[in-house]
Amino acid sequence: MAAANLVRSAFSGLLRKSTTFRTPVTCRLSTVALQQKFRAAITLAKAHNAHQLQNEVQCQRIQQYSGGAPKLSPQQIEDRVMKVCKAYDKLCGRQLSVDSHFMTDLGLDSLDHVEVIMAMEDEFGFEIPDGDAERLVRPRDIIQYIADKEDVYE
Amino acid sequence: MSAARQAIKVGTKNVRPVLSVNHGEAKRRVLNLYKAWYRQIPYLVKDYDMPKSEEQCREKLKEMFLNNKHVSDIRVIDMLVIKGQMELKEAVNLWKQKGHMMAYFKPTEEPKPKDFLSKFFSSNE
Amino acid sequence: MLRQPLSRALALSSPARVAPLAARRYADAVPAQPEKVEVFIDDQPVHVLPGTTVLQAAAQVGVEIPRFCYHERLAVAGNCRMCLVEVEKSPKPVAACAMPVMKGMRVKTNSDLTRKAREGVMEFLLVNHPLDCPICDQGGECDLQDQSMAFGSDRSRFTDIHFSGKRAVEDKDVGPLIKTIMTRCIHCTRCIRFASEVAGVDDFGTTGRGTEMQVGTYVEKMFLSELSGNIIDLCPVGALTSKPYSFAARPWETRRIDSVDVLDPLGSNIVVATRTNEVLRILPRTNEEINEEWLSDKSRFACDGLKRQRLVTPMLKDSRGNLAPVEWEDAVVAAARALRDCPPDKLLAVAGGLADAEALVALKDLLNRLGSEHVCTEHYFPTQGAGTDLRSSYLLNTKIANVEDADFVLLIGTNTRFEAPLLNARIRKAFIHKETDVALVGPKVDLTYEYTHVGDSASIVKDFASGTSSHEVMKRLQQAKRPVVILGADQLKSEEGPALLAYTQELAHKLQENLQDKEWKVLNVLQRTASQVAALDIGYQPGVGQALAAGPKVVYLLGADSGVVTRESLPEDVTIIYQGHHGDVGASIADIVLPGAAYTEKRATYVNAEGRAQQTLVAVSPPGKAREDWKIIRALSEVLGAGLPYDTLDEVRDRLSQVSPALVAYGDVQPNNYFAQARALAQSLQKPVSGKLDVQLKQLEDFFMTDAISRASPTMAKCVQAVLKQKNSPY
Repeated sequence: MAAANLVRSAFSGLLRKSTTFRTPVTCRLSTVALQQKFRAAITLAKAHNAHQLQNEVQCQRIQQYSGGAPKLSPQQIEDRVMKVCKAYDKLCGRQLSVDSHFMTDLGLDSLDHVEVIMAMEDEFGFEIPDGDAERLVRPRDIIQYIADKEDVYE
Repeated sequence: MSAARQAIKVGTKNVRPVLSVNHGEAKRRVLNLYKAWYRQIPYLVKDYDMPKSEEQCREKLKEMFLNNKHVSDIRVIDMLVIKGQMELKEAVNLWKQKGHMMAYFKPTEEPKPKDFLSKFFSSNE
Repeated sequence: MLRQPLSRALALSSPARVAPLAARRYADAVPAQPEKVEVFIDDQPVHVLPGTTVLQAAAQVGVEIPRFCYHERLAVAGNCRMCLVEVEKSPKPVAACAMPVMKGMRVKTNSDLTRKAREGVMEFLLVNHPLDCPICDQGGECDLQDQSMAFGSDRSRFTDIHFSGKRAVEDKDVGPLIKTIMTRCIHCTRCIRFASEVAGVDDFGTTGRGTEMQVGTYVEKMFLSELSGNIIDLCPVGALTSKPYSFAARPWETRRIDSVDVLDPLGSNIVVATRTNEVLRILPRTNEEINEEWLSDKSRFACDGLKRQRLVTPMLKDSRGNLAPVEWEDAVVAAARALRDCPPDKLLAVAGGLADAEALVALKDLLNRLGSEHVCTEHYFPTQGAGTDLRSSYLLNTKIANVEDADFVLLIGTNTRFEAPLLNARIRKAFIHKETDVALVGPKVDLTYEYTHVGDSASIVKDFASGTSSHEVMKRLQQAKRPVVILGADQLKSEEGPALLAYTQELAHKLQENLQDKEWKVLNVLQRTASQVAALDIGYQPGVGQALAAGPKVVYLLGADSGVVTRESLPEDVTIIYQGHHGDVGASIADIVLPGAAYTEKRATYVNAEGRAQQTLVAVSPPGKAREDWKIIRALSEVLGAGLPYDTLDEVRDRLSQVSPALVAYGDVQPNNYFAQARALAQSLQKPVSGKLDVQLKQLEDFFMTDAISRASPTMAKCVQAVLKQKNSPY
């Protein structure tokens, strides 16, 4: 029954009634596409049933959402920031402290600074706007900024 | 002294800006463009099947930006940023082809000889 | 419009390179300038000296009056009638080129009458002129074309073509250099006047009259002058054109590059016309101080030798003893190995006649760094006495331009006609216009002007110097207010050379002491090649005899092709490195060949016989793998490890200015002194001389092929053949 419905809808899709179906049809007259859709529908149904019969127990599918991520502590932020800085290839092997200035002490230029900020964005998962990024010239500034943004209090 | 003043008058002019009004704004545009390209590199390598590693692409990106580091005229910087944005758009939308992307790496360009002896042996210039 | 506006030719606007007659320092003082006359040209007042013509006065104002037959450097003919202008209160238009101005004359150069006259004259000229423009070589640079467009009528009234038609004239054969299509001749007689006045070969003239008038040599005779090519420039139409250049190119296709000629020691200024990287022709550039606007035949026509016998790849002798082409790296490494393995005192460098100052200084620096002092020139100059330390001993101290103000010229052992044709042209100019007398000590040669042949023994010079001669020339010399003594440098290579130089210096000194004019220099020595003066300035030893006798192990030839260095005169195991541009004598004896650039292919400095530094510019690129000369030496030095401290041309020129600032003062001659000191140093050399003075170039056929470029030129070969053939002709 469901399969028949599927076939009917596929057929009508093939005939291309102008207003109803907007999905692009790759091949008008080919029966291969039809057969593929038919087969796909069957395997989908089979997989669906198979999953439900996992462990021969009909279990509920539990949808999991990310609940609260574990709260960051200032120490964690500092560790992660320093980890990212050390991982940056232009800075590896150099003595890094929380207060070393990227441009003057560590000899990075503005493009390298952008790369560092991008690495921070990737690590902590949120965008840092340009206006703010300009001001983050030390690891300490970054730590402070992230702490402000993530509402992490000392 | 007035000759110097006149010379300076001739040498500098006030002109209409193209996009940015000061160096800070221009710098922000440049860095934004850099970020956009940087983020796009992994996708470019995948889409165009480039036989280059991401590291090499990032190096090339840095090199292309540093080629123009001496430019000081804000309108020129704006024009270069606009051209960079056009290139990025073409690269992202797959309007370019593999050859265009690989051409950035200038695979067949031989470096010009710089010291006297190499210049002498290679040509008459 | 006009090929060379009169104002530029008279150089009224540029005082630098010009020396108009009245302003030249040594000209017989125009006694208390007579009052200038006021003339009105097109209502513009202008003050001119009495005796100037209307045409010259108009040129002062800036009005160019068209003409065909008038030429500043030739006598006035007034036969073309194109310069007719209306003068108020005159019933007929007057020929501006011939009419001297009168006070208050009012000249109208653009009135109806003048215009009608010009149109009429142009119409008459074109009646019998053939419609040859598409096939005529002069098209694009033709005075007739330009003036008919500017001043002629726009429509033709010539209907006679359907009846008796235009006149036709047979072509004349005047030699392998000049192509004559006499139908195009407009009978301006410029060629006749040039041949008679400047070249001194009075062969051209007119025969017949009216329509039947023909310009030519009447009998088939070659124009036997070393300045024959200049009539090609003079002819305003395409009647006389250049045979080697015929049908080659149109003037607007060519690129013109200023340069300097190196085939004779005077350094005439030239313009090299090129197209698609080949030299098509060489034309003279006006330089009042050296060549005016003439150029000798060898300089003009030997340019096709630049394409033949060229060295285009470096070559090394292979195992069988043949020179095989190799890459630059191999040749430079082989040369460096030879130079490095040679003990310093057995290392010799010889500079040829076409070497430029940059290459000379680089070679000397390299050899000095390797520990050797043996850098020589091919041509000899005595080093005893002052030698080459005092510059005045080996230069033309009376500058070329001042020779025409001399009132007596004594030539010792030199045939200036073939050694320095343009200097000879100046002497002839003085002979004709200023009644200068000339005396020659040497073989009797044809100098194109009359001279007193004193004899050919060297002892004559001794007698002149000591004042014991009873010849009338001695008296003339002593009475002359501006005497000039020119000694040919070739004479100094015999054993008596130093003595001869010493006597000449003595004579010149004696004459100079009695002069009123303290600025006038008497002593001149005429070198034979363009590189000799620069080499002597840089510090080269003149002459190879001694150095060859010492048995060198490595000989570096910088374009040395005159044949003084031969394999026989050197030990068996010698390595000869030749750097030059033609495969001539030097390359044939070499073990390593490094191809250099010729004078049209490099930017180089040459110092002429007066000591004036000039530079050639790059007109075409060197062929094949050839490189610039100083760069080859610099690369060699770097491979050797004794790197020279200059990488660019400017740095080389800085080095040249370190050696002598005169070498980079382009266009200027430094005034020379120390004649007294030089003569004092040479006094001990005054030994009795008995030899006969002989010159190398006696006849015209010897003139054409004297160096590597002219020997490779087929045009020069044809000239030699034609001259020999003309000898057998009864005319």
